[in-house]
Amino acid sequence: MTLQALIVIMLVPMCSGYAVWTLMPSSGRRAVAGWLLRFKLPRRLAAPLAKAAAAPAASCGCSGCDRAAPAAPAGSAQALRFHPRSKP
Amino acid sequence: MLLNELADGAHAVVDFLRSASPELDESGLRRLSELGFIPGEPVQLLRRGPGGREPLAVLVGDTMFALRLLEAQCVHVQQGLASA
Amino acid sequence: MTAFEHTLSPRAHLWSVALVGNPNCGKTALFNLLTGARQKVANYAGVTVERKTGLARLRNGQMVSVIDLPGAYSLTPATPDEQVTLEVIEGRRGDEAAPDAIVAVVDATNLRMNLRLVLELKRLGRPMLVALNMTDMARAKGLSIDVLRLAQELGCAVVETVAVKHDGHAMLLAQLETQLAMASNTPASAAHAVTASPAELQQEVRRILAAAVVQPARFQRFHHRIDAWVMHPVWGLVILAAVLFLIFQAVFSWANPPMEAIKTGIAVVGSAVNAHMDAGPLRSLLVDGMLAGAGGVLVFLPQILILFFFILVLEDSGYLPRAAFLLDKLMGKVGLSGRAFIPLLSSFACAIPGIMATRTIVNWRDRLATIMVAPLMTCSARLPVYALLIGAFVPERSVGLFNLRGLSLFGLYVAGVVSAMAVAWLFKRVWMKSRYQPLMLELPPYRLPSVRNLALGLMERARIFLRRVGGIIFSLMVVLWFLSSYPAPPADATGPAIQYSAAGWLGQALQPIFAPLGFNWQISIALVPGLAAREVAVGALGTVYSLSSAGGKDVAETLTPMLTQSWSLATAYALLAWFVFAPQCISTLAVVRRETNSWRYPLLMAAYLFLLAYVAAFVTYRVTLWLGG
Repeated sequence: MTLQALIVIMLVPMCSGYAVWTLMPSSGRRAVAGWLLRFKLPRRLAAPLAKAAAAPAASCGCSGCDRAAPAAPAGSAQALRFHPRSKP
Repeated sequence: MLLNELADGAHAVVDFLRSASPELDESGLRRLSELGFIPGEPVQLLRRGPGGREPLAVLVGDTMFALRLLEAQCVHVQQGLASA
Repeated sequence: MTAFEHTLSPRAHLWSVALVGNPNCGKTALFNLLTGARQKVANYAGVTVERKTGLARLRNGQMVSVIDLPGAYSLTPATPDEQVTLEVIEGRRGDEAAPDAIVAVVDATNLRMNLRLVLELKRLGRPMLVALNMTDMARAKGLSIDVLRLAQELGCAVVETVAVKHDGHAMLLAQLETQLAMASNTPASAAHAVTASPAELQQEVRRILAAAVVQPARFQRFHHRIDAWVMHPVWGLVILAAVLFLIFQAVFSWANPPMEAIKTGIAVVGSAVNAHMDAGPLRSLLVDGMLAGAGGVLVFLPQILILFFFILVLEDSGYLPRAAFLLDKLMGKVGLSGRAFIPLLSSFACAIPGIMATRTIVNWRDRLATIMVAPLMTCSARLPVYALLIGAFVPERSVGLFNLRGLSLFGLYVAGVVSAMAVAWLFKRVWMKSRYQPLMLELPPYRLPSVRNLALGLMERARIFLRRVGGIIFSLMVVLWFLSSYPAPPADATGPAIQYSAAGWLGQALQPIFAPLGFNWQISIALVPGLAAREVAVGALGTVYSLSSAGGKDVAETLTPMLTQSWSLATAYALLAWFVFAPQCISTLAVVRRETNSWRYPLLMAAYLFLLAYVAAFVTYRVTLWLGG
């Protein structure tokens, strides 16, 4: 097999994986990250996976602006859903 | 008189707040006072939006706000008083 | 914990400082000064709805975490974003401890209002200092503030800051250093806001102002003469239309030289690859996948930057609330709150921060209506699609003063806005009753946009775009290339190889659905990865057509002439109509799901948008054909 074919065979699955990862709903990402963390992984891989297991990345440009809600535990999640009916 | 009854450009002083409709409740009045519509503060009706009715551009203290007609109707003012 | 904090020793306690203040007091500019590039930027329309964090370096090298909180008029929250501010200050947010110190940012030219919040914050009893911002403007207007006396009256340190000068935060840094050196290591206990009536607070404020501030009789905070024109019922609207017009002209004409440069660059790289690499899968991947695909999207960077330049200038200058003032009545007619203007305008950049900016709308139904129509506002990702199609099918001609292409783009944006209003009106009729919608919108004084903030904003925007092209767009193009090249055609094949591939097969399978709209199978297949993000459709068309061109590869052959040759005008217009409506952005749906806390609304949104897209494309196609296109 030519060198070109070899490179392509490596590149395509990597890109597919990245695309699937980025476009997956955050719940899916958390599940996959959680599952992956069960294996012993080097620290460089484990750290971003741990972050993903807690809070999702965004595929649009908003680095961090959509971080808030998922990270908050169920108790304080009420706060951001500002409906008139929950207002005292 | 009411804030919206002022002529364009007229100066006045805030007298008190009272709800002009059941749609604007206590929390709405509180918000108005938090924005600066407090008895004794100077207020000036600058201009009105296209159509001549609302919104109203109002200068209260040193801050400018765009208000709905309903909101302005909750602000009672007096002309010819010195402000606090 | 932010990514930055991973680099510090886990033992060191990272001091955190929260910037709190009224809206429009320059908090965000100060935050930018303190944190520079060490921050995560997220908002486009002058409204901070989420706390932003960054790191500031003090002069002694110590790092401090800085949080920029949404502006609040008081500690009694009236909107969801004010709720965020209160909770962060009180330490009630589960994912974040209370800040160690509060920096109350005040606009020196508006102490009469800003000091009320300062007094409320004081009652919390937390370590606090006051940043007197915009002191340069205060001095210019003749205001004289006795800073020492003010500090005495308030009972805390007061420093002057000028957020638009590159070292305007020097005194703040110095004060933070002294204050943090004195502070103990124990974390702050959660404090609770004690409510006080605005009237009581204002009495105190008046007393303090009388003691510490001398305001000349001629003090004018605003430029009333400019407002006389800008807010005029007739001239104001004329000015608004003119400004919008200028933006669209600029996007098309100013962008040309850099776009040509990028196109040439890509062509040069392509020729080099073709010349120096043997024919093979990798060469095809690079030329047809990467260069034709991702490169095809990269070309639009100049146009996007120009668009953002104007958006940022409009925000920074204080013009946007005036536009909201002028358009409020019109928006009210379709049942949208005047406060919806800024989130909707934000959506011209990207619907995602726009949807989040709806947190400034109190009423749930008003908020929902705004969220549901935000994606119809022509977001910047549609720009490559529009620009490609207009560039291919609208001649470069002048109509009077105006460029025909600029006019077409303007027309598409108008279509987006009109459709948003029509949908909102429909929602209002069917679902949401007509009622009082709060306005209470502050109109800040005009400001010369700061070059620093503009540069930071544009750089961030360029970075985001490049990351997207290099990341998800590139990956999807590689995948698409793969699916379009394999299975390889049998030896006796006629016609372009791509028709025999997986993608070709899928495109042909989808074709019957899109045939009534005039979409060929190439378009059908391009729309699939285009679901991820709109620009991806442009890249996908690039890849698909690059692989479709039979025979010798001439890399100079770009997508545009190929489209002009192979598509009918009706198809092009129908595709434009499709893109005005179609929700080709998974991220937007994800954010709607998060903001509305249910799957129902994003699914409803996707359904109604696809339906509208289909009908609009169909009608456009048929009408254009009938008119002879």
